[in-house]
Amino acid sequence: MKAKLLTKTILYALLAVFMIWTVGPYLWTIISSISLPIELTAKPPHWIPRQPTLENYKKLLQLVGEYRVATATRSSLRQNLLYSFFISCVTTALCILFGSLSAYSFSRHPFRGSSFLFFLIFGSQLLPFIVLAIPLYITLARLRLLDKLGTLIFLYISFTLPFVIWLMKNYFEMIPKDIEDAAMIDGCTPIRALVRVVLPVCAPGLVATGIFSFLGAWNEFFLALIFMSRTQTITLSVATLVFGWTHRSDLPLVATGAVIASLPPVLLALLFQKFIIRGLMQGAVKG
Amino acid sequence: MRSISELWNRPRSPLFSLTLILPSLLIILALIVYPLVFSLVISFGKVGANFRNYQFVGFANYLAVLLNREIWHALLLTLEWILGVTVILMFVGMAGALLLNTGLRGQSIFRTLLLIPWAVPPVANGIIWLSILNKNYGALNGLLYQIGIIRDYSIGWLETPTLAMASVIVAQVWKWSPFITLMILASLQSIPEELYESAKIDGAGFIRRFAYLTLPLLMPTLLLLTLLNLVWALNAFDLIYALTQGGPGNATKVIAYYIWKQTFSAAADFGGGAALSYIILLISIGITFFYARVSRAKRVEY
Repeated sequence: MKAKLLTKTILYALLAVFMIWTVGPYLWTIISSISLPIELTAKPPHWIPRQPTLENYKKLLQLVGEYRVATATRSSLRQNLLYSFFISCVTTALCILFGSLSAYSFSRHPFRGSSFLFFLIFGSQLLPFIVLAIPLYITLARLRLLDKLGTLIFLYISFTLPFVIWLMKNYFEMIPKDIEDAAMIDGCTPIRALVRVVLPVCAPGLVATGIFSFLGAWNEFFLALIFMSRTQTITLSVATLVFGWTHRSDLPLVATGAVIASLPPVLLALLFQKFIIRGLMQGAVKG
Repeated sequence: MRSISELWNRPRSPLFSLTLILPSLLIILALIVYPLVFSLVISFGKVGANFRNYQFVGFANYLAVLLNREIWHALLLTLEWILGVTVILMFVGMAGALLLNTGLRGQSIFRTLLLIPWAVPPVANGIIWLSILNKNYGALNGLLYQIGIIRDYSIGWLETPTLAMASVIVAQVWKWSPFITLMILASLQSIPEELYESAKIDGAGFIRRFAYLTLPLLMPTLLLLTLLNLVWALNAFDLIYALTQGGPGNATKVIAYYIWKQTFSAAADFGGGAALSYIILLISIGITFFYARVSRAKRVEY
């Protein structure tokens, strides 16, 4: 009995270490964001702020920064936040629309060569981004499509769709075919059967897919840096980093930037954790 | 007209299936397949500053890449980076999954908290670690000072070449280990309990159960995760850009960062960048094929 208690204590201790490692850095960033600069420059820093403050948030959201990415531009973080929000929402909506149609076709109405096509689409996920970025940059520069919101949205869709199609196909295949067969016997066209019967049953899958797309677009940095850096329409990812570098001596302000950029995805993830964990885990088991 | 509408409404007609795929297919063709082909063309040529003049140069770009010592240095660093990240990630991820699978209390809360690093944008990840690893005010030096390991804030985690690579690896592991843990946890929980019961009856201890039962059954998942990590690490750009910008010196200038620098920032050498990125593509394909072979050989059933 004693040995068992000992193992249990050790296990809990290890788990505690693992969780501190997982949550600690983010927690410290949140603490930094509500601290005054002197609390962080103290040696050692005040691990718990003596005078917690929301001043940094106010300051950051009102800040209109001038910064250089490729050329000097002026922009406010609030504006960047709106851009990112808009881009992520449109990307998510279109990915779900195109993705569910394709996945439905792949899973329910296969044709000759469709499994090969699916394999091709799925395989494109393993392509290195940089291979595509160079030719895309040249083509888009020739077409004068650089620094346009729409361009970035289409790029995000193309890079997210393969994953979305794969995920939705998995969800569709878990649904018994009888439900839609019944609907079609009742006179539904296949599209109506998809919209009225299949999609509602797949709602948890749709939520998970939507969040994955939103997070992907919101968190993306590389393409946003290359394709959107010459105008004011930079996304929050790029803006956060540039703000972070420009104000690097103001530790709490930099931390606040990181919190603002990460709060939407983190909150979404925590709020819909059930769907996301199920989505991720389903992927793991299916391989 | 009538026949088309009939064809459309008849399930299982190729026209119907293709129409559903069409939007996705067009986007993927235009933004993935076309660039892939175009990149090959660029890699055999020189592109003018206005992106219009194209001059075929044969294998010159590839030759220049292979003869460039800086690139070989970057490739070696990349090897160090992807192996370091992947090995440590798999160990940390596995440890976390095993801990969460022991039936301790609060499992679901811990599982939820794992989503935090996973959801944090790579850029925010960079900033988080930038402030933790800051030499003069960072939390890590602060912690070491607090518990008395260092007498003064003396360790430049990102300023010392040998430490910088380790620091970037730690930051990458922090963001991705929860994902690995969740994936492995899912596989662990799909192993039927009876297998463990009968192994226990046969007198197999924890270590033997792990080595002869858990590990082989997890193998497909572990191999897939290893593949994904290798490819992702090969492409890693955001974190390096945010944390070290390839520095100090060239200490963390991995290949993805090197290509970006050469192509988009410093030299505007599109032909060379395309050639190098094609070499990276071939490496990724090589890793994938290796994975496909190993994973076919390693499948087990009980």
